[in-house]
Amino acid sequence: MGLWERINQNQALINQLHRAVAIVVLGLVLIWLFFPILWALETSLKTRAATVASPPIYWGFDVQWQNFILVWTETALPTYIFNGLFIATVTTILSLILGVPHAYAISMYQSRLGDASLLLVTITRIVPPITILVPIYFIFSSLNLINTKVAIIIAQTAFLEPFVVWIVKGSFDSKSRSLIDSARTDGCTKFQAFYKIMIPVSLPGILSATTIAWLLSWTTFLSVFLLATGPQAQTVPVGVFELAQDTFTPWNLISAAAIIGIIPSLAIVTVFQKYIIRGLVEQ
Amino acid sequence: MNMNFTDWKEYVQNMRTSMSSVKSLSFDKLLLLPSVVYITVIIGVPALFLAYLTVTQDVFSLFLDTRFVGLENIISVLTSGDFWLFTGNTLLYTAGVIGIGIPIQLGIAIALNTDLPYRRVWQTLLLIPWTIPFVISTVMWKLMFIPEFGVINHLLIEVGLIEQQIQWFSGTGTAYFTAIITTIWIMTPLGTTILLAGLESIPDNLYEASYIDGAGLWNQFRHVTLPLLRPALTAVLVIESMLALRGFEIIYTMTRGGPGRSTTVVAIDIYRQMIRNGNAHYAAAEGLILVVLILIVLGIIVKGLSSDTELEVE
Repeated sequence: MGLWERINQNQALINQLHRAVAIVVLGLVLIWLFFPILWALETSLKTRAATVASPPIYWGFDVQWQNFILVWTETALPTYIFNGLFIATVTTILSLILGVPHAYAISMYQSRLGDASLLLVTITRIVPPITILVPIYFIFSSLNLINTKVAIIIAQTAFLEPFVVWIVKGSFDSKSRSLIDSARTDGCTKFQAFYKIMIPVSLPGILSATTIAWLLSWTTFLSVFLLATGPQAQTVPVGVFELAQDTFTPWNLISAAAIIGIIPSLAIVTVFQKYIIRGLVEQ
Repeated sequence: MNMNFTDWKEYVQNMRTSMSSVKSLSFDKLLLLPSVVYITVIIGVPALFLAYLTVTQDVFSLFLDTRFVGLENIISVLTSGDFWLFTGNTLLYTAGVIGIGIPIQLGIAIALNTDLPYRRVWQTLLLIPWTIPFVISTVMWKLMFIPEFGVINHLLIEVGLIEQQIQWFSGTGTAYFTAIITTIWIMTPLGTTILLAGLESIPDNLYEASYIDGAGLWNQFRHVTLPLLRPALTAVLVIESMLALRGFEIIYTMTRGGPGRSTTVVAIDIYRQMIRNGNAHYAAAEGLILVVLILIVLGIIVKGLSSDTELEVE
């Protein structure tokens, strides 16, 4: 019997091999995923001279923690962060207020309007943002709304709210209608059935939608890039982009800004990891 | 007018039923109306304006004086040789991302589809690149690719694969490579997570049954895994190719569309036409054509993966 046949016949052996391969692959993948981040961290702690050293310095350099202070005080980074947090939070709240009832209505009730609205939601998800941002840019431009946070919130909500509807609808769909029926026979009004029964039961799905919507808003580039021209409304991705394009900004500062820009993402992922995965899979 | 009592009773009853059905219709319609109104206005109005921009041209300036030109704008986009260059670039980029990226993600998902400890930990870690703003990820990769002091060249030289610094951003092929690798890096969490979830939903007893029927590892993969993975694979393919087709910030941050215009994709050109040239009509037409392009590619993917085609695996 050849090695391959022997392996094929022994299920336990296959599983052991699989686990070994899994551990190796996981290790490699983690290195692949984290090396760029760690390298950026290293770069952010170097002096300007050290960043352009050739060949690059891996260790043994003077750690400049003050780079982080420098990038915080010398650039508009704090403003970018504030803008980003504000826009993301308001957009998410707005999307939830609009989207959750919408999802409930399509999921629990049948109507032609409901079907049409589902079509509308699906179409919105397929349209490339750049295409719809062309007219939006010109409309906002003539309304003098360029470079305002309000404009960006309005635009982003339009993109993210259908997304929320999609995810939350999936969550409602999987819940049994009998929950509502029994609540109604117990004397609930339709609205009470909605917010007292369905929402608490579907909370994981709603949290998934919330987390992903927030992240998408925080990280989105195009809508901010086009609709914001100055620090009043620019967010972190655009800020880092501008820093990187400016040939006078040294790489250690750019990296420091990048690292700071990652922190909210990391925080959200660590806390809400379960919901993010759920939301991704629901697609 | 003589309505007798029975007619009257019927009349009132009909009113009652239609009113209560209006009432029960009202509740769910009330729930979805704000959302529908919002989307219709914020997306619909620009969409109409997009159509308007596409079929008009300026006489003097925007909004003030435009004349109807029908399909002229669309034709001028389609007959501009540049546009086909950009379309080709877009398709090349997309092909690179999904052609290289998805097999890698599938491989990782298959490898990880087993009983590994600390699941929560590594799942969280795997997710992180996706949650970082794309621009920041690209900036990190750009730092590594810079010719003289970037780590990538250095590592390649150390390992002995190359002798001279590769000028990543000066050559078309290498510039594509930088953009594609970065995009794959960013997409890895997404694809791996979805495919892994798909793999885990395949019941073990199916593998056992096929094993009893005499199927070895490879045949199990072909006849159990792949067919059942089809929905997840389709989802990953659709999501990633759509992201690549409309991709702007990764390429723009990495190469600026260069060298020259060799990595300029359609989205970048739309941006340039709109902001640099102020050419709203051309940009609008181009945007519209991009939508059509995406729909065509989407159609090909969905058709190619529909249930009547055999998943050929060589």
